[in-house]
Amino acid sequence: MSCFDEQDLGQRVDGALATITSGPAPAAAIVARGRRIRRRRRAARAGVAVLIAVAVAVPVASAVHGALSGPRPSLEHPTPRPDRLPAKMTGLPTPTAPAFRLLVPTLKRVVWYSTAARHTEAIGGLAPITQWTGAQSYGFGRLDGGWWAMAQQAPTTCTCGPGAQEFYFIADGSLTATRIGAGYAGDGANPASRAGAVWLVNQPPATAKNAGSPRAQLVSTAGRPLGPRYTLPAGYLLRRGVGSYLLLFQATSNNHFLLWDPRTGRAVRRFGNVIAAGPEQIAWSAGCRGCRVQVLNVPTGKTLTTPIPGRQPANLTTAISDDGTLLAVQPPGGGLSVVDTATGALTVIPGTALSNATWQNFGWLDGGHQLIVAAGTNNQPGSAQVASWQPGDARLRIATIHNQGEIARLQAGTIG
Amino acid sequence: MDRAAEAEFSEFMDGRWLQLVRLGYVLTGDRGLAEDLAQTALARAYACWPQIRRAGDPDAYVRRVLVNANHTRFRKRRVAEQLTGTVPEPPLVDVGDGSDDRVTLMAALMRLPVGQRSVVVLRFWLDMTEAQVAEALGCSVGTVKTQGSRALAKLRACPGLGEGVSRELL
Repeated sequence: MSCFDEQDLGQRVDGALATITSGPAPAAAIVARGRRIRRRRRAARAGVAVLIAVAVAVPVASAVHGALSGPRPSLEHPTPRPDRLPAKMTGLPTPTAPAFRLLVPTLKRVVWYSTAARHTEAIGGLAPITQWTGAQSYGFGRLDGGWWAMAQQAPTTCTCGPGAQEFYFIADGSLTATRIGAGYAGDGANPASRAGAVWLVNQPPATAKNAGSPRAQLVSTAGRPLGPRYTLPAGYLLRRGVGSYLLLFQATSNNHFLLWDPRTGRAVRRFGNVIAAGPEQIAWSAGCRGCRVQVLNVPTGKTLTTPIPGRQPANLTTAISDDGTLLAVQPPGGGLSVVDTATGALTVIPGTALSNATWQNFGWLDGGHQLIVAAGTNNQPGSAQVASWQPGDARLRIATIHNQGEIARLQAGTIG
Repeated sequence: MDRAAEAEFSEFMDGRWLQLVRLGYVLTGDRGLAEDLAQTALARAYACWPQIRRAGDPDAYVRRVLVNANHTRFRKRRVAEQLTGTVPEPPLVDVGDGSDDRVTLMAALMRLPVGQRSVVVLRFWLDMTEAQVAEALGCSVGTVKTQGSRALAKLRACPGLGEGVSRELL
């Protein structure tokens, strides 16, 4: 049984507190504290008022300024309408176009087109096209020091395995291709992080025990094995070798990427929307309102973030130099920029944002540090522009060409 | 603040000082802290005295400020608490004698959590309604009821508190 009564509690507390006495209130101290509190509140209110005024005034002033001075040029987020952009690049005019070679596929062979000599030279050693299926007879991809070429034959023509095609290596400027080997059409030949080597991927025959698991092997550009053969993760396509031994894959079903250690068979890191990769660099641009490129240096593990002009990180057109130190990026409807992947420094190349009625084609000459840009107007073949840029240049050096054959090759060819 | 308002506040301060110190004491069990809380409550009242006067219930305002200041002090003290490797000796409470009911009562109150203690003090010592307590503590009436019920259950379980009480319940 409890003998506690809450009705008495108040009286008992009263009794307990009866002994608690205190002198007079410290009026001076209380008033002084009160005044300090009042001053602080006034200051806080004034601060909030200033912040609100700034928050309101800045956008208004910006809008008024914009209305008075017209569209404000902005490197961060230029949003010109594509149809209001110029049709031609601007820069320093030069009388002659920069000398470089274009890799051009014809119906049954591949040729180099020299802009200096203005003539083509056939490349030997490639499988002749007997029954091509695609829009082009050969497909190309950049390797260190040259290109892989894949003959786009009809499936029945190549007897080299399921979904396989023959892959070749064409060194920069060479007139003879070397056979790398038979590889899977989706990712048969891929850049390695060392010169003179290629990651060759193929599928085992359908009757094999491990059918369905692609395998990759580091081979020389002449097809000589340089390392063991690894079984690759299912559902991914190899994109390139990165760092000393890692491999970068892209998922077949989405835009997710995987950095994978073939020695352990485990994923090291995952990425979304990789836009380019070099021997030691992986560049990606995640979805965002502002556009930025992040570059991971694989050996050091450091990531640099570079905001780039434009609003659409997806669908960036890119070209990376063979050593991976210079990355050219172009958002849809935007101009060209170059990211130094070692420092994260961005160079915006002025005069390269063109209207959507034009075509543009760019790449690093021989995988080095000279950027070649070709541009012309769709369906108006009168003239085209060829420009070059290298680190340190403030503007493009632009030549205008009128040779229709050369314009067609610039449009269809692969610059490099 | 004009002279009339200053004089009015001065009168209010003198009249409520002891009551506020006692409220602070019953909430904290420490006379020094109690005076500090009372000063804080009155200083904040001074800072916005014209508005408080217009609102018409300065007592409720200073009580609420004092209770909240005590809660804040308690929270800050808990954050600043240092962890030690040894368990401190629990304070000895003399509940067997029963001769000093005041000590027993204060010890029992001090053992209540600060929220429950505030509810008990406001509800039963200051005779505030549950709605007034809820307003003073900035919580719902339901919370006041719950906290009060738990606090009374704990006080009932305290063996020394029954002695000397004239009326028995249950």
